[in-house]
Amino acid sequence: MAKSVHICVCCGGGIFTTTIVTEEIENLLKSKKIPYVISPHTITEIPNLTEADIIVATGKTSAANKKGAPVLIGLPMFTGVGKEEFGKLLLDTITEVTSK
Amino acid sequence: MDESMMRSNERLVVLGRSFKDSSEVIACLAGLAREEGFVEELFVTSIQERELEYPTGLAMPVPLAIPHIGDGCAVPFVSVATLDPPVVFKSMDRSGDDVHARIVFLFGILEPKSQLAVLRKFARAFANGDDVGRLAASDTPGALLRELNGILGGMLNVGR
Repeated sequence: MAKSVHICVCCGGGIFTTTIVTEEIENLLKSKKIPYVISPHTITEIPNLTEADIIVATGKTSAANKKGAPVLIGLPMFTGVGKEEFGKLLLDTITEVTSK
Repeated sequence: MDESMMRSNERLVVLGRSFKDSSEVIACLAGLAREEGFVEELFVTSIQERELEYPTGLAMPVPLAIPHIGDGCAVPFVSVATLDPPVVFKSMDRSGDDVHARIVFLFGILEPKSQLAVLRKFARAFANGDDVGRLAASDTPGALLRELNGILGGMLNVGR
């Protein structure tokens, strides 16, 4: 069995946006049968999320993850505008990090 | 009545008012919730601080903003203001862009999981310019709430 990809979803307060974005990502990964672990965080935690393979932040951030996990902007998953494109980017990024 | 349902009422709706800035809009909408006893003072101060650090403007077909926190919230609710003229909020994508909001939904959120269904409805509604445009053009608080609850599939507990 393939190793689960760990996605950390980060927003300002850790509510509302995170909850919606997390659910959308779960739906996508389930439909693609990709094993995953997903957890909610705040944007300030980004540098120190050592468990993350991929970080999805709701907004732009200058913060980089210390272990080099890519940071994607997941606001399209909240509003639905640009959702397809974001989904494709996320799946491509998962392929990238899991093939390492 | 399900106590976990998100609430609103006509006293939490402000129509076509002129505000000098986003902070004044938030103070008004959070203050109304305070008067209803839905939030503590902590909520009123925290939601202002949160907006400065994590702005909530959304550049949708009808530009809007969605300040929201759970700190100091006793009863989940939404309060709404339509803005004339529009008021500048910073974009939630933290690009630094201005969003000239025509309508603001301010949320007190408890246990997001239990409110996921209504929050999901809201999130999807924001991108719908026709729906939000109708809300922004409402003549009375009652009309706005009826329209809003229609959009949300009746998931809002609209009290008197």
